Amino acid sequence: MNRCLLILFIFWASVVSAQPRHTLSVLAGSAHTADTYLSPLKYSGASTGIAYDYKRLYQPSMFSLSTQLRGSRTMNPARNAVMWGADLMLSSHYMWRLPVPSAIASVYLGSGASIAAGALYLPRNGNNPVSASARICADAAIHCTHDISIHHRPLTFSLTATLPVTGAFFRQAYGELYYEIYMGNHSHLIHWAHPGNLLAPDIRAAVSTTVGKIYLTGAYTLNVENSYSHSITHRCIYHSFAAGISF
Amino acid sequence: MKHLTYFLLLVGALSLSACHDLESEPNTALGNLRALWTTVDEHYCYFNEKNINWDSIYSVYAPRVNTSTTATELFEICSDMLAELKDGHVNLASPWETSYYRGWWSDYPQNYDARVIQEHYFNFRYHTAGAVNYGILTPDSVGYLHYSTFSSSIPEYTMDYILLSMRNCPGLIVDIRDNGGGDLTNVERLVARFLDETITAGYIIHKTGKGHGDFSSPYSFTYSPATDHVRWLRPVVLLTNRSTYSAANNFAAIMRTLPHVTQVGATTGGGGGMPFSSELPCGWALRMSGSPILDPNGESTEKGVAPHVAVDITPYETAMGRDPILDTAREIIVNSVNNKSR
Repeated sequence: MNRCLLILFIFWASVVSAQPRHTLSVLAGSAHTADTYLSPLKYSGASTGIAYDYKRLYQPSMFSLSTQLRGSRTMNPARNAVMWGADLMLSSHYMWRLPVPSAIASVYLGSGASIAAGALYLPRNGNNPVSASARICADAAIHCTHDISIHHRPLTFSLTATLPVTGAFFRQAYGELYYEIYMGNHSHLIHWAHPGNLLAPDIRAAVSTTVGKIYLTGAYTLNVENSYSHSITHRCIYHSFAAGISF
Repeated sequence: MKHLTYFLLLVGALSLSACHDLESEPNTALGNLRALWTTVDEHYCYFNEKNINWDSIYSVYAPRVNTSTTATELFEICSDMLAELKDGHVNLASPWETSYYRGWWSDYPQNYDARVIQEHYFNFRYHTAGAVNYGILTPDSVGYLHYSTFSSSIPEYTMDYILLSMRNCPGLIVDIRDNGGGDLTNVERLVARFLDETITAGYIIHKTGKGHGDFSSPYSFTYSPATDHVRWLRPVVLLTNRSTYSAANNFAAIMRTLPHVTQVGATTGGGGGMPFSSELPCGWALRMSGSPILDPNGESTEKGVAPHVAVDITPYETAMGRDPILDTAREIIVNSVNNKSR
């Protein structure tokens, strides 16, 4: 017991003493949603959210942890129906540095896991107003950084991309109402995820700099959740600009 | 740098592949008619049961649409096309009108007049709790309860009170005439009051694909007794008419299989498929039967649930202040009491 506590303490101490980099961001941008279970039409509108990122370098490797909470409000082409969306994503990756000269960029490549859950809600639909989505996946991840200095101001450009490679995701059957699931029919709801039926790249291009003692980050993010199963296409594309502080 | 370039190309390719276009019809008169036809074609669940040739129906209505068709004309054409399904669960909603197929009840006698019961059987001395009117009929002390819509739930404590107030009644009449349906959860809550054991309440099916015959295996669902509440296990007579529809139709299909329940009146209106919603490029909302619910015997109830004892009401009887369906129900309960006492 004491040995376990000692190991945990050493691990905790190593994490705490490693000067972790936390980033809190606010996101805002456009949203493009479509879910053929709810409607054959494509909806477009706006999204907003918050994100938290943690990155820690263990030369020659890097650990990252990201969470993102987002809401969206989109309208159909006729502009007479509103679809609401919300989703939460949590991902963790471990990457190793590639032998790329530092003068060019620091490139890390690795893998990890991600969990995402969300729902689209179309109030005008009576018995099928919601399309829920959830997935747990193993991801491929890449992170590149490049440091430059402009007028003696250090700037760090970074590009991070993750892509679920395999895993499992939830999707109700083609015409299955959630009432049937509520009544206990839980068959055929979980699907094996692969790039042929689930494509969910998460891309973030950021630039960071210091202003006084504050470390500021501005970023563009592209989040895609695209799945196809039971002849249902579920697609959410978010283009967002993020502003955040790091500490 | 080469690695970075390859990576960026890979990311770009993946992003593009994630953005492939979804098929959709243009927002034109013909485009909307085609979208309507296609959506119904892919989701409506009773083509085979009703032996409907949907392809031929398109060939009838599509020529009526041209580039000069106005929105109101298009709505009429679309409504007429949907009426071919003869289904009360099929509606098209535009900003100015919602289409209904009314033939499922308008072609039959109504068999219910609330005022006749309120005036001639209760002299307006009945109780109201939400969507429920109830009271005790004299002189035979038969309990009576009319539930007007399953969209309105009856609070458990209200139902406890109503049933307790009828504790000295030999039987109960549950009247769901003109009940157009509502939430199936309210069906379960009410059925649970009349159960002595868990029963198979029915089967639900959903479409698994776009084909007219793409259905899942029937999934059986059960209802359990409301053991924490007041239950009614004495004789029950369930009154139905053609306007007993949708969730009320499901309620009748389940209740009539219980050993202490007798269904009296007319065949219900059907509506055995749970509706599924969609929309057209112009923004009109569409609703149609999407998931059939079968009765406890595994039979479709889309064409209605037939009563154990069929009774119709003539306009003359209504004018005379009589409700023969209610009278028959009282006789059944009184006779069952007399038979037991012999």
